[in-house]
Amino acid sequence: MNIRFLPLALPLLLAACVEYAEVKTPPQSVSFTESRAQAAVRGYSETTFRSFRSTEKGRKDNQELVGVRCSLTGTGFKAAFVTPAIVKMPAYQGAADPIAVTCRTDKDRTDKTVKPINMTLLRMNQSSTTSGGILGVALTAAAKGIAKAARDPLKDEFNYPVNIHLVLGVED
Amino acid sequence: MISSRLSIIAVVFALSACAADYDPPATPVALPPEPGKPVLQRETVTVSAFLVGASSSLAELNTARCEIARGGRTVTITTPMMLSIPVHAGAQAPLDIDCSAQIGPRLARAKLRHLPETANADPADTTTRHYPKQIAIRFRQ
Repeated sequence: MNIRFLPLALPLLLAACVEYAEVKTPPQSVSFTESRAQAAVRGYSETTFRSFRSTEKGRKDNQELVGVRCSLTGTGFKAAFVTPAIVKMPAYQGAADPIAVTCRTDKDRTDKTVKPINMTLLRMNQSSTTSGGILGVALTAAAKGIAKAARDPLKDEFNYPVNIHLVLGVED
Repeated sequence: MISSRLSIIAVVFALSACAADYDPPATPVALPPEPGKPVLQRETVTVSAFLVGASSSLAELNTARCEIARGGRTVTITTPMMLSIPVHAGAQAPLDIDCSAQIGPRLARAKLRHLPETANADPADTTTRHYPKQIAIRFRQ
């Protein structure tokens, strides 16, 4: 293996070693607070919410907390769950707003804002790899730039992240 | 050399993306004149709405509802729409445009105050325009 890939590979290997708690409850749905938000849904994607404890300020450890009460609020929908939990999050076209997630224990509380991901742009950025040298890279970058500018933003698909980790006891 | 050609291609694509997707109805919506003021001329302004996405992408909206106010008079339109604006002698009032459109889960809003390009109207000159031919309202993704 080329040594320059080590910094990338190491976190992945370490992440693979982390064992998360089993999600024992079935995926739950959000409840809609605005009919326009419900009518605009283009599908659902599952997001796993997990909570963690940090023992030292500024440092996150891998100690997962089970049974933490959390709530989330988005534009026109909300949900309450106990971690770890899978929530079927609404997917939208054109635009989506960040969600606010709050988790509480007797001692700690954390608030986190999570932005939706523009999946259309993500797919465009991930596609079209090239091996044609500097010219190939330049042409691919230019083609990607043109394709991104020419796309219809009303058709952009927005999903929330697959995993959301909430760390209590430290500013996340 | 190659990069300059790519730039030209990119600009051509970007400009083609800016072209309007929808035609407004042929008949303009008339903004009522201010009471007691004679109308020197009428100017037609096309109001369009666009969604501006990441990476400079653009899409025209044909469902934006706009309330357009000028000099205490108001009309409500759905974009794109031609607006017939009465021009009175003297100082011209700004156009206040307040639009809303369903984008994703939210009812997005965009406001614009368009000042007259020529502040005063001279009764002897009925050829000078005071408002632009096109006004674009931009919503952010």
